[in-house]
Amino acid sequence: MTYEATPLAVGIFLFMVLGVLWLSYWLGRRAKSATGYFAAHGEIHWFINGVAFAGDYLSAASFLGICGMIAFYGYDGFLYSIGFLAGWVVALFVIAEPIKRMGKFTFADAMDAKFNSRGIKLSVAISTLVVSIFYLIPQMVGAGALVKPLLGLDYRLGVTLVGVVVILIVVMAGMVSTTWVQFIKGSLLVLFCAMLTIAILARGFKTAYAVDPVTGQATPLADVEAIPDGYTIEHRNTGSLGPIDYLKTFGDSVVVTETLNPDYLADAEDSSRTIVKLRNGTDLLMPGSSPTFRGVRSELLSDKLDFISLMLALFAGTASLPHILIRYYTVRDAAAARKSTVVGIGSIGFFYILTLYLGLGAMTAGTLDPTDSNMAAPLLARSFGELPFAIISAIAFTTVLGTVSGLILAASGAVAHDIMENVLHIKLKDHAKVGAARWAAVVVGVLAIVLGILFSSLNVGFLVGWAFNIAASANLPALVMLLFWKRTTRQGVIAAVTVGMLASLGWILLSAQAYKQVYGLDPADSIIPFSQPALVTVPLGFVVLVVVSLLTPRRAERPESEWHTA
Amino acid sequence: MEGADNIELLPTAKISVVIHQRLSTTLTHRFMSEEASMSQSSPSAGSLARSRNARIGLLLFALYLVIYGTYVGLAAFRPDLMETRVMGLHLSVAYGFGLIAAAMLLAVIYLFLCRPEPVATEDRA
Repeated sequence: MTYEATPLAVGIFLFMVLGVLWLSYWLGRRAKSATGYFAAHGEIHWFINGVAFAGDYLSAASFLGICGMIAFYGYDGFLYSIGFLAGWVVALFVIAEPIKRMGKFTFADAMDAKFNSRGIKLSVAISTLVVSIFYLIPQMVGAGALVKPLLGLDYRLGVTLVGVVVILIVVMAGMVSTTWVQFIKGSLLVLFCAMLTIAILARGFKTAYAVDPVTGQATPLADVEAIPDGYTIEHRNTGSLGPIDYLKTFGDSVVVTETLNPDYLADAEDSSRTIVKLRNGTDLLMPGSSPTFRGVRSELLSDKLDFISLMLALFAGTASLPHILIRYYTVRDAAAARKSTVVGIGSIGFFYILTLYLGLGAMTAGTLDPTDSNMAAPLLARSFGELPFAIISAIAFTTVLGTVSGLILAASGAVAHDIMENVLHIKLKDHAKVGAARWAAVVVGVLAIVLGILFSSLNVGFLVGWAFNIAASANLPALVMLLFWKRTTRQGVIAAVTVGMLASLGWILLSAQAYKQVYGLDPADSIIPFSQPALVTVPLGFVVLVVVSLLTPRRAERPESEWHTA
Repeated sequence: MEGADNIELLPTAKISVVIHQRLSTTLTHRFMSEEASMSQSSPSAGSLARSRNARIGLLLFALYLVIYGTYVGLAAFRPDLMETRVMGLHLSVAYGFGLIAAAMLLAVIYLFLCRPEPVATEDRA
């Protein structure tokens, strides 16, 4: 499908980008110290921070990926919404407050608070880098895919443009500008999606009616298989529906979807641009309708494990994502960390409820591009006019900017604060440390651009699932045991982080999905029974930690008053 | 330097800090000043409130884990039940919305049940 850039879209896009850069420059004049760069002086208001959580978290995968998946396959995309939000429950009830008390700038700070060990700092810093980079790739791929239709730019140019803008945001003002960019993006995304949902409900959708050939009476059709003999099918619009009625009617109907004809020929007279398909509403609202989750409907237990494992990874992964964890250092105290998480859960949960409407709306709007599920949400907006399309595309672009800047900041903190200063013991003055972090941000940003170009063909949602698996396997066992098991030792933490990271990474690289999508090999040759490692590697991390801790001598814990000293 | 940095603190933030302090009783207030000089390891109002909050958090977490686990189990092993209608909605949709609503509800409950813990060792003023 070809897209044309409109002056309106380009204008709104440029306005957003320049606005964000100006804001970063303006804020950057004040963020000269390390506390300012890494933690925004710990003085961000909890409400701002809460919305910034949403900005951090609602990445291109959440917005474009989930909407696209629902639009293509129905309910299965919504499984990601459910799992992504469930992870926040772990973050709020278990992780948030201790993380805030134990750390100063980075995740490694918190993990190491009780021990003061270079080994812990190094292993956690490396896991932070690995997770950040795995999470960066899909964001960059998403950005490239977006810029193409929006601005008519080449994919590579799009990825480079995103990379450069993000590097500028992070380098200019670190956590201060990153937080404000995420706040703006988070609120714009949620508000505009709410408006789009209202428009979807007001429009209703087309369902199939069975018309009696004799009386001419039309009754809504509930099943494609059950069209009565002799009846004709008519497609009618339902008119506006309430939020509950919309889903009820959808489930009770045979839904008329229009997809673009992949064999469409512009020259041929009889070639039609779209194909009308009838689909059972009930079937589209059941798990297992997509290739990713087909295993749920299988009789074999091993096929179901993939689904269970992914649901576990999403649940356990959120609270282990480095760019989410560092956001706890931007607020004043544990109570503010708690309050901002609740604000985050509220806005993120509200957004995820909207995704079901956006996805089903995109499915039935007749504007899907069958070659690109990531474009479902912007194209849905286009069905309401050029202005919504331009706005939603620009918001989608800032979505990428917000998440990528958070990730690059987390990675630059791991390099400058954890590895350079705390592991290698390079003594840096405050402003030199900020300088080192800025250089690290540039390097990670350039790396992200290169990887984004290399992995252009990979599915965005699929890559994010991997990042969650690695985060959950490497970080969660150590984090949880550190908080709840007093016998945890330094060696236990190092072993759990290292083994969890390597095991999940190895599992992913040997999985059937990687065989097919990365190496182009026959997926049947893979030696791994299912693709999502969390179900095995998260418990493995716990076992390794317990065994190693019991084998190593107990050490006196540092009292809390010394936690924040190096 | 630090003084200039305070400009970033929003006016609303300052107001909420004031309200927060007014709401906490004078008793906790006294503990706050005492605790600043006290070691964290001895039991104080701060660590009591903290462990109480942590217990509530774990309880709510366990509750949510049961709801979430039931959902994953249903989807994986009893997909036929997902077609049941709850107030006209399919169970799959109703349960999904329910999970999101439950997370929000439990989060707000947690916020109300938590006691303010005095900030002891941190000094950012």
